[in-house]
Amino acid sequence: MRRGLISWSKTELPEQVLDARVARVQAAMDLAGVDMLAVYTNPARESGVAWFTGFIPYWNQCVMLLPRTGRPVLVAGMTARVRDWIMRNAHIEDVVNTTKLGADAGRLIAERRSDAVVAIADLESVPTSVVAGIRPNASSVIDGSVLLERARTPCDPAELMFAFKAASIAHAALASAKSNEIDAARLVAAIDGTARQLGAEEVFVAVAPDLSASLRLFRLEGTTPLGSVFAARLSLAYKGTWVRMVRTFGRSATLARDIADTASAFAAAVAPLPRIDGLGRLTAFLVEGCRTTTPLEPLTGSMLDDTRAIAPGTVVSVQATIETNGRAILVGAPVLVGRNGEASSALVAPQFDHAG
Amino acid sequence: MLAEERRERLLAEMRREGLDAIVAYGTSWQEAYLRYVSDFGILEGDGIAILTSDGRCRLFVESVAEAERAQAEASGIETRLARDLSRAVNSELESISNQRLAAAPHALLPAGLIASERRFRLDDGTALLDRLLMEKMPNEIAVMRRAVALADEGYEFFRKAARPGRKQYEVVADVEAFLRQRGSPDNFMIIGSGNADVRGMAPPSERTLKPGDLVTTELTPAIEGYLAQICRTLVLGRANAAQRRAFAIWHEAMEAGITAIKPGVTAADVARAENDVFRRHGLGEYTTSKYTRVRGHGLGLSTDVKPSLLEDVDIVLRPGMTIIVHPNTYHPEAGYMVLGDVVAVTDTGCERMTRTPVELFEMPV
Repeated sequence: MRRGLISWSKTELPEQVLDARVARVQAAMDLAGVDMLAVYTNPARESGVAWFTGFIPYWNQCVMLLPRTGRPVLVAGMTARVRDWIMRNAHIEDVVNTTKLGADAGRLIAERRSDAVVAIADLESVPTSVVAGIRPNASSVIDGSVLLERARTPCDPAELMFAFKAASIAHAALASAKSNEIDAARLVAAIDGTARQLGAEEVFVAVAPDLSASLRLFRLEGTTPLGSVFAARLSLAYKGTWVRMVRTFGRSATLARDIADTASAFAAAVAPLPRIDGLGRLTAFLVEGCRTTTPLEPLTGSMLDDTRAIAPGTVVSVQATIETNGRAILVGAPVLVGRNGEASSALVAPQFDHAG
Repeated sequence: MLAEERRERLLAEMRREGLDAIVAYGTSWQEAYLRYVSDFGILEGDGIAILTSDGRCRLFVESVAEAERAQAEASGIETRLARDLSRAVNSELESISNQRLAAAPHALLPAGLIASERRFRLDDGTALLDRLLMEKMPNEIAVMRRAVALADEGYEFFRKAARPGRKQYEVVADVEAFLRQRGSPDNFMIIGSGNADVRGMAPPSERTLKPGDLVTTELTPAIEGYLAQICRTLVLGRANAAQRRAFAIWHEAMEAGITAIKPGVTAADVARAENDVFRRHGLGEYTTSKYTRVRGHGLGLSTDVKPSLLEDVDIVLRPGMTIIVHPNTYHPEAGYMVLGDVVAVTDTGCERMTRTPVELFEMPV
């Protein structure tokens, strides 16, 4: 559950930006004959409601109701004691605090219109109790995922700014860790602490403590010795925008040079995105991004059977395994996908060691 | 291993209740059911574990990162990456649709899993798992004891980190780094600072700590998935008379709650013991949901397992429960104030696990 900085900054995310997003979606609702859009949020699915309102739930769950005209209302599964905090940190008309999320969302929909067509973003993933509360109060319930996805593409300047900020925090946090570190707990502490000091909302650090034994990244508990070559993956959020970045650490100068060289190979591999032919030549790769409400949804990758579209003008996080001099090196960074033939490029280059 | 011990206990309960499989859903703010069944602490997306009566446990997760973590972190399970979670779990459950299945927490299952055309029926298994989550085995209590000790250490560190001139989120960042260095992978923490203008705790903001502030925190580090909490209030400088008077009431209420805890009483009895103290001091209004969520709650594989200490919760306390008693609420003169200790319910009463002194800490500025 969230315990990093959560605070709506009207300088970074002006009300006009959020109003423009709402207006864009409401225009699409009008065209589609949708009376109400319901977007569910909890700490693992924060990206939809955060995009509309700036609101990020530090725990619990909420449903945002957006009518075809007017501002969103938040139905929150938190007691009234946090009402003021929510109103300070969300651009909404009102908040309704309740323990009966679905029932109260349904009641509010029916109060506005008795025969409403309700679209629910990511309908299949929303808790059954929420959908069960809405369904009897709507003339029909449809999946609103495509409507939301189209409205979010391409990223607007404010979303890009958050992605750049998240990427720069991730880079600084990974850069703060030392290649000569021998204990994984201290490595994680340095990365986690630095990211939060720089304003990260949430931080997950996974470590592959000895790449010569395994490339698998996982969350460590207790103390674990680090090998001569190891890697850390930092997943972090800044104001609802998530990125991942991966750094491989090597103790020797030769290793450091090999690791540094992967940055240019990574840049070349991601440049053709949304085409994946560059990445396809690497040992392994994964592309993740946010389409609707889930922050880092797998879109395509060497371990996935099918591919979801990578939209030009959006930010994706790319992880790759690159073989250099017979050694597997893990690398990753958020990438802005080019539009209209522009090359795609990392928001911050995954370069921490200098070649030569 | 504790995960295997938990799974064996669950399998025994399933046999007793005639269940062929249990389906446990989890996401980062409702992780306990999934963790109990699969030993996986989920961070991203949703996960569902299916434990069948033969002891086989299959975990389905939506995220590639989570699938990779689960393979490394959780023992004795089969992990499957399932980008369409409902479809994958549906397919698995349809293959055992002639058996008796139960799910927990039923209300949070993805809508795609409960669509009416499904051929299987999922009974509500929430109460069964809630009972196991609440009433811990001795080895679980032993891990809770370590987590409580870490919470004590964490608060000691917090007291030093909370200095005038620092922003709330910087203080929390320091505490998080301290806990990671001590090997704890997770923590839940909220904070408040100020005076009578502060109505509660929240995630950290950019607010700068100032001399005279009351600084409240609820700090909840994890060890092996078990979360232990501490609630304390400190003053940056010398406490004033109103703050001291308020703290004396909070202290009295917490002690009343702890004194009430023994097997056979209800969660309501404990909440009432705390709230009666406030009512005696003319502060009954501040025990309502306008000012406070609960008067304490269970701890374990989540920051908030049952029972909630509220006057309308009739869950009977039993040995093995670990509970934080925290009469946290607003005081009209002092502001929001918190105080909470963890206890374990024993055969005859309760054992206080928290070691941090019960005082309104005054930090030199």
